Amino acid sequence: MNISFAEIYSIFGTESLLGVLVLVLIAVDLIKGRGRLTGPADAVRAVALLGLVGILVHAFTLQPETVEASVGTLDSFALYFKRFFLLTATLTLLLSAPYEARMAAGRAEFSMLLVFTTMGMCMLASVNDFVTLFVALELVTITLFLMTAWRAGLPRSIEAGIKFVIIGALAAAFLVYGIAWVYGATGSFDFAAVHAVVNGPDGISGALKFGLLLVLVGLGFKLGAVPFHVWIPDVYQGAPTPVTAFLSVGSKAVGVVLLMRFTFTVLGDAAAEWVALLAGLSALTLLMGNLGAIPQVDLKRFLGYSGIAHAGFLLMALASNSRASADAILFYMGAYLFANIAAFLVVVVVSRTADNAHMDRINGLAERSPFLALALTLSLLSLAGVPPMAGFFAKWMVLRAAVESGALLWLVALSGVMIVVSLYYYLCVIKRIYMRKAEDNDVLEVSGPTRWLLLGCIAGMLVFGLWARPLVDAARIGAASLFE
Amino acid sequence: MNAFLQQHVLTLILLSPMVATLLLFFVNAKNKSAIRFIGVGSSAVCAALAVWLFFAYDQAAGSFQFMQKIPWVPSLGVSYQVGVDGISVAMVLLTAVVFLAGGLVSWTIESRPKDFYILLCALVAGVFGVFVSLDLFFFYFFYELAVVPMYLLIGYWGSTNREYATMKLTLYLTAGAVVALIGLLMLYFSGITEQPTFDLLEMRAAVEAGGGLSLAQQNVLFPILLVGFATIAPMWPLHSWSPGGHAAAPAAASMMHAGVLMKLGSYAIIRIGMSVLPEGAVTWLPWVALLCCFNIIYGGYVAMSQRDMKFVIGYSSSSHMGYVLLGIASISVLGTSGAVFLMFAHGVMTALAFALIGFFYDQTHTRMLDDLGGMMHQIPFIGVLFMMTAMASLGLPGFANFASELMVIVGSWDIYPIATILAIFGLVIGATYLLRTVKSAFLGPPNPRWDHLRDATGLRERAPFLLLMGVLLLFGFYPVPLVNLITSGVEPIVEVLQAAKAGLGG
Repeated sequence: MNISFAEIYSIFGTESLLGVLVLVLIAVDLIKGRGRLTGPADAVRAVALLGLVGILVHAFTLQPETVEASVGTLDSFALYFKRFFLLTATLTLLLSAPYEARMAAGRAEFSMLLVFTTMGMCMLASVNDFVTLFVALELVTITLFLMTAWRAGLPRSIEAGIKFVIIGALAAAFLVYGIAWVYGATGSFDFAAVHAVVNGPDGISGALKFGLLLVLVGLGFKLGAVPFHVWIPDVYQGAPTPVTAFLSVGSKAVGVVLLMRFTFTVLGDAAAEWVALLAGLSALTLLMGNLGAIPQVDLKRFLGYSGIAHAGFLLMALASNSRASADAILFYMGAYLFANIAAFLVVVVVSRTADNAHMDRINGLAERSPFLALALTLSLLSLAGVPPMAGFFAKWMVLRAAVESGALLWLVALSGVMIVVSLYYYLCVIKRIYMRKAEDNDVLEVSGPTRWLLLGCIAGMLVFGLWARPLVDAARIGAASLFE
Repeated sequence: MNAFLQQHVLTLILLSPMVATLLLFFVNAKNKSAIRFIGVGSSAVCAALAVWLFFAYDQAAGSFQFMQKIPWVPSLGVSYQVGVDGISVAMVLLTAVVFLAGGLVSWTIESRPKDFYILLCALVAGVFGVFVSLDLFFFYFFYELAVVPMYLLIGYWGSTNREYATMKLTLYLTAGAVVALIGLLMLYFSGITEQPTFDLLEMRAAVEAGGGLSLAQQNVLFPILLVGFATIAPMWPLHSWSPGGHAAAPAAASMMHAGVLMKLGSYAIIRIGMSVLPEGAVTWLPWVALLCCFNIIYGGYVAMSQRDMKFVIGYSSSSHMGYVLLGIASISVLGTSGAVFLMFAHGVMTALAFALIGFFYDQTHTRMLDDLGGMMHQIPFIGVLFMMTAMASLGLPGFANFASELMVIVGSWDIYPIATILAIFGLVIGATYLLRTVKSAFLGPPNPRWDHLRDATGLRERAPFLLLMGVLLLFGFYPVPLVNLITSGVEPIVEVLQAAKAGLGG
């Protein structure tokens, strides 16, 4: 098959630009650095930021392309998530600024790796065959391994990296083994071809089913779904906080993208047979995340468990297996992005002096910095799904889709209980902010950029909570191409 | 001006506390007078608009008025739709009165007044939203919005056992809300209207046109909604969050909470459960009549054994809510109108009681009846008003509570004679604990320990008390306008219910 460069560029344009950006960053590092270790980091970061914003703006001008090539697809779904990943990367880069003082070395390379990972993520949004999927996924995962272990001086950062590598490798093994079975059973890596076999007259053979099951499990790793959730608490706690933020939003979205492609594109109508499995996974994930979050005393670990709980909600939407549930998932990720970035940014600021994220650090935060207290409270309320935050509308859409599907009322009831449980542990954190005495009374300085970033996230949570229509419309357009 | 108000009055009532919330974010926390001015100012605007609404509502025409509809998220069937009937107008007026009094009472809060008024205004916005929304999405949105600010209001500014009480309250109410949400979503997809819609009026129109859901569907949906909403009502045995929450809350929060928040439950049962699911309501309301006897008798007995004044009023509230539920369950114009009237009267009365207790608690730092006593000598203004409030609560003629309780009792006599007899007996229990409370706290020889107490002086301090007492007396002596207003809203709902009852052969 001959595919011209222009065709590839029409689909992977964003990724090409990101690749160029990485090269530019290396050049900047070389030219400005002249052998020093820490000197050019700020310049590299500035260029990276400029580049990411530029590419983000460019991504908003793109239109869905219909190129008949098996290298990938640029449908509206891919576009939605490319924008999502670029926005996440931009925010993460901004979020890493107040953290970087804690990194002795490798600050410039950190920005480069972030751009590099984003390139993989954007690629994943466009995949339509299993080989590209695996390659792009490894691009993302391996760079994330590196970033997790970035603070080589800290044992827990190294520990997190090792755990991440081991479980990540295991998941990758599941995935690639599953892909091999799928290829063996269908003779193709192409999503459309597998879809044709899955929905063909012969139905799903045992071998194919086995392969698909392994693929599903491997993809659940990224989402943080049971049984591949075990890495999340340790890795979230040990990784540098900006990386944790990126993992919690970007990496989870990768899981979402791939599971949605898997459910809606590869399985299609046959997904109805998988509903029970997805619903079961959702129930276990909901239980694991919500009950696990209750006893946590480390903020990052806590947000890790909360992230597992949200994965449970996303799986519930996936199990509802309808157009409405796809819309709901896309909206949910948008709401989740702002809330999580805001929460992790506050974590970065409050853990600055002690370099750990024990919850005692936010005791009495309302006295030390009312603004940070407000930002963290609002983001936790958004995660809990309280109006008028965007998270409320997101949960509401998921529940609406699940009730509409009709078959999953038991799961809806369970998730209802879990909503109450989650409110409990989020309120326990809010209780520390407002009703506990601070340990140290030093005033927390919030720098200008941090303040603006937090204000942006608050605006995102409030605006899409009160006036959800623009994001709902974007989500609907994004999800539409999965059902064409 | 008038035409503008005709069109936008409900949105303005909703926006007033919301704008205050937003404004307060940008006020310097040290500028306490500006904060108080914004908080109380927005409540005054609401009160003025609510009074205008009360007079402008055309009772003869009935039905929903001052409607406004803006598509919000059309692809999901959500639109911003507001409108009021006689029931909602009464509830909006109640909320506005209690908000104004609560805003004034909170004037003296010195600890973080900015955050306090932000939360209070957000809560009130939620309550107003529930009472004026005709779209089930926004109904639920505002319902949740009203619940969560209470967590911090009690948790930070509260007293007795506040952290436990506030967590229990928030979780109970959210659990109820989630159950209600699932019920509402099931209702949305139940096929009650041809196209799924959250528009309450369209559902109502379908029911009135003889459509509506099958009996089996209604019998499933009604109890789900009932359990969800009755949690906040609070119906026995789902009431246990309420007395502790009342006791722990700061004065203004108790006022909003017992005065208004609890009424959301009964209101929602009438507005959604009874309006849209008449057959389900007819089947299940007798159970409510049974449970409300526990509210009345059990709540009354528990109130009798309390030593903390706020717990006395807290349990008496859940006892009084039993009368409201009894009136609702009676499915008669008189009884159900009486229930709504009692929601109004009890809201004002209980807000007054909590405001008065809050006033002296700030100085005594105890509410235990054993410690208090003889305070009539030191704080006669508060003492006399509390005595009058107690008289109102135990149903003395001349107060709105008497008129409304009488309506409930007369209205439900035909249908539930035993429950009604128990309810009348409940009045005796009420008299016992209320008179004893008055005696222990205010009467008797002067206690030198309380010689330092300061009575309410000046207009600003006295205004909230006088306002609430004035409303109680006004509608006690001249209930006709309010009762007519409420009846105009209750009648069409009860008519459909009675037809359903006849259809079911009961």
